[in-house]
Amino acid sequence: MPLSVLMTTEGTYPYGAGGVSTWCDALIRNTPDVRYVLLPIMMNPHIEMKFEPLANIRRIVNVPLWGIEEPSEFRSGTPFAELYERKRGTREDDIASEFVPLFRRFLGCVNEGGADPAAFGAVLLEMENWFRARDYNETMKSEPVWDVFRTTMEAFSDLPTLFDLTECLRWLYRFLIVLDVAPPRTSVTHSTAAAFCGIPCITAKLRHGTPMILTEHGVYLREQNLFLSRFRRLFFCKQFLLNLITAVVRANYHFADVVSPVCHYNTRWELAHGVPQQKIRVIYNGVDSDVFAPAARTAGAPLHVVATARIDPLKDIETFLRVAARVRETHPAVRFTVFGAVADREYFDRCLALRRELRLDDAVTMGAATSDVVGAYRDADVVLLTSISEAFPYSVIEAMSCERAVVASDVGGVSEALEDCGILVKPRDVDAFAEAVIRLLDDAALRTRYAARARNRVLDEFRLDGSVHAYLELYRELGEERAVA
Amino acid sequence: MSADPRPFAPALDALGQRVIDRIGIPKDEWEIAAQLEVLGLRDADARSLYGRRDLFDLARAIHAQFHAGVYPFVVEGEDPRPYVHPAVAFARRYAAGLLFSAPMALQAATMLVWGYGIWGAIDLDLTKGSAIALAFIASYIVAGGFSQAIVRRGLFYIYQKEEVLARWSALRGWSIAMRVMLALIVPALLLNLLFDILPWSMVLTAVAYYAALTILWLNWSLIYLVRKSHLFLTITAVALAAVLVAAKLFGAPPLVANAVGLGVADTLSFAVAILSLNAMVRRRGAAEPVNPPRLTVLVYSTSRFFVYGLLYNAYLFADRVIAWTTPVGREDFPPYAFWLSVRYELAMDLALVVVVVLSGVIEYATERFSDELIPREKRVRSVDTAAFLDEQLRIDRRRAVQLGATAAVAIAIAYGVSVALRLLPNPRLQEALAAPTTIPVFLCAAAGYVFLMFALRNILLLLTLSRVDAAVRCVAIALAVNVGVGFVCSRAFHYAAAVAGVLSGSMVMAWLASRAAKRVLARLDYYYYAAY
Repeated sequence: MPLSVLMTTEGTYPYGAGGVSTWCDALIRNTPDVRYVLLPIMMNPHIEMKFEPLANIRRIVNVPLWGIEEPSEFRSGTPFAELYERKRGTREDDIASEFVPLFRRFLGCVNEGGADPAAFGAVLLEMENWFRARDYNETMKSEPVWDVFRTTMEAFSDLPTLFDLTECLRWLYRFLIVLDVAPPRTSVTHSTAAAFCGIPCITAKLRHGTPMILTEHGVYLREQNLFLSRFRRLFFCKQFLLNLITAVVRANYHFADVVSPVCHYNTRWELAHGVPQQKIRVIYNGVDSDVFAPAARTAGAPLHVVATARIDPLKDIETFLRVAARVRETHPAVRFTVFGAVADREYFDRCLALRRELRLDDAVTMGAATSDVVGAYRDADVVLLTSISEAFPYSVIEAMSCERAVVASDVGGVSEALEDCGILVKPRDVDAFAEAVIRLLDDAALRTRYAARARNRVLDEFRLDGSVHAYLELYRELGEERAVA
Repeated sequence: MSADPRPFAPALDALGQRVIDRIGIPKDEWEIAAQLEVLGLRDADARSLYGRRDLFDLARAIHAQFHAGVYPFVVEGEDPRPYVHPAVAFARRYAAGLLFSAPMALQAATMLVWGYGIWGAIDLDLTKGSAIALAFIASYIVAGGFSQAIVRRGLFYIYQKEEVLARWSALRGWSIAMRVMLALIVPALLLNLLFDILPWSMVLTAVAYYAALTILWLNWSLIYLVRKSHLFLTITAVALAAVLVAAKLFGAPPLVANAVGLGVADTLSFAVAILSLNAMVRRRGAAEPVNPPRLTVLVYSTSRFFVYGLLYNAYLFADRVIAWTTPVGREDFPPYAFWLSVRYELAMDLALVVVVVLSGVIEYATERFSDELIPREKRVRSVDTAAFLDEQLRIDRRRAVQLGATAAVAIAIAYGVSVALRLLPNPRLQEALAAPTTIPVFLCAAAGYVFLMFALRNILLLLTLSRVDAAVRCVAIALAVNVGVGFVCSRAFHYAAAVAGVLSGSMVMAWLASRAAKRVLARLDYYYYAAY
């Protein structure tokens, strides 16, 4: 029997670009004997795939959260007549007597921040069972559901306004859409984040005993804490959503048989949230060293400092610009380029203003991704990463594989990747960054030494086949365990 | 183990304040820990700079200090909304409401002054006039459902910033409507062939106007979707100019002049719609929709709006169809099964002044409800919901009283218009106004339209809160009453008594819609949640 894997993603593969998507594509492409069912949670259903569908992906169960009036719009494989019947069969009396008690238990778990992940998982399964027979929209937009939500949240806190409750339940409506899909049974499930995309893996484990692998690229809980910190005026909403997310994250951690973060740094949050050490197996990302191969720079070309990073506050492009300004005080011929799409328009505008203020318009290019990432690295003398938050960034190991000298902020798992093969700098420390870049620009021999060590480190530790092999072994181990059981 | 915290206290206070300044009230220590990480701090820094074991320990310390009241913080209120004087707000909304009536008013004016509209002319004989009336009613009813569906789904996608899909769904709805409109011509012709209901010249005239007018209404809905409603008036003016040039300069007969006008209106409105839809899509930078919804689902999800549009437009003209298909009490001895009564139409048109005057008030009330709902919900704590709901019902009663007062003024204005029209040197108009049926029909219709506007006020509230099923129920029952009462009265007493259907149907609709709206307002907290 070939191994089958339900791989679940959230905002990434195959509809989004970035590190997680690159990782998914590489893993699936390089495990041709494994049959995959893909379950991508996506912001809306009207986006194009960024990756060609691979032959071993047998089915894609799309889960759009927004851009739809109700989930049944995009439920593939269910005839319209059945959807209609399900709608008609969802009666308010049944919702009040059967679903409301479940929902009350669910809210209780959320308000406790998922303190009892086993109970939370059990109620998720029961809710999923309900939605397999009843209509999601009719249920979630019913009066009994609103009433129980309001009374439960009022009992939890006297803070919320009607607007808070409305917004929170509307969000919940979207996030729980994932309970309205029925993915096929597989040998193993693999969630690519400790997030809502892990819910189908949790319910598969409870329903069929399917083993679950959880790979954390970034730390979802940390990222969501950062995102929701923007809700300064909506404290109740922030509190509710963070409780919900914490409950979901802890359930992911609880039900995963193996938690495989991409670097040791991520384990800090995992351990702090109750993941037993023995469950954790760090599997580093790998790069194809034949594709990301070294090549000499064009002779006589001006010195060039490159970053491959999307324009996002977490990448701290402002520090990159300040470093550029500082370097050009003594090295006015040096060019700087940031290859990466604009993820945050407002932030990009701020960066443009800073570039103008620093008189760098002619010296720094930014605002566009490149289709030739390898070329971007090869065109660099120094690769600079100024991020204030990272997990185990591809940009670092790809640059290392291309035999380039790297200066990077010492955040997340960057030090695990770089070790002594590049220069680590405290984040936001413009002086230290500038000094490191100048040191490398001034000393070609030093650049070459760092670059050679970096390439060797990739060949030893971060090869794609090594990373893929580790996951394949995990699939086989868990898949076979289950077969034996 | 943390080090002795005392030497690190000033640094910890400064850091804690910095974090609280960034995030306001922290949810817990995890939120603070995440912030510490993006400030560039590491476990090593937590130890060396703050004497704590790691960042989590540092975050816990800051969280504890926050709860001890060490860090002052400010939670900003809502951004102030620019103050607009209520009178100015009312004038704006009222003008917006009037804008929809402006094309009709412009046509009425050109008809009175120069004798021509885009469809119809004052010198047309009754055979042609009846054909055009039939075409107008049929086109309005056929396009009504599709227009609602096109606008509803299109706006849904626009709100979702899916302009490509908005164009896709709108044009798909438009093309389906076109096919249905054309397909309906076949049974109509067959029916006439089998039962010889109307002369063929009349039928063919009606078919031509029906097709042209349906296209115009559908184009109107596309223009409404792209928020260019102000162009209705411009397009009407250009089309009217084309009619007048054809008739007055080139001496074209009325039907030809109308054909020119409708051709111009159709072409111009379609061009405006397509150019605007394309511009909207260009701004989004994509051309083709990705993964559009299944057709069955699209049809299902818009079907209730379709039914609402169909029934509502049918309601507006049911009395005409009933009145003009009976010979009872008619002075002009209708030769065919459908025969326009100019007197009846004039009376109904005069009563329409009530609708024009009140539509601005309703537009204002509906917009104000939408504008104020979210700010109110932001102010009201959930535990105070009961008081909030009472207040909503109070506001609703106040608005009803305001509408009632305005309605009295509207009827007076409409009557004033009828008096003013008698001063015009047009013998046919004066004859029609002096006819014994005209003023009673006008008064009855005016009263009916007042009730209709009361109903509409509540129906718009229901639609705003996505309770389209309730709106459909109100209109469907009212239509049944309108048709039933109108039919019985027109057949038993007098053809013009069909207007009793309008009055009774509107009263029923007002009562049902008021009941439904009250039910919704009494649970506005829930209905607002579910209305998305």
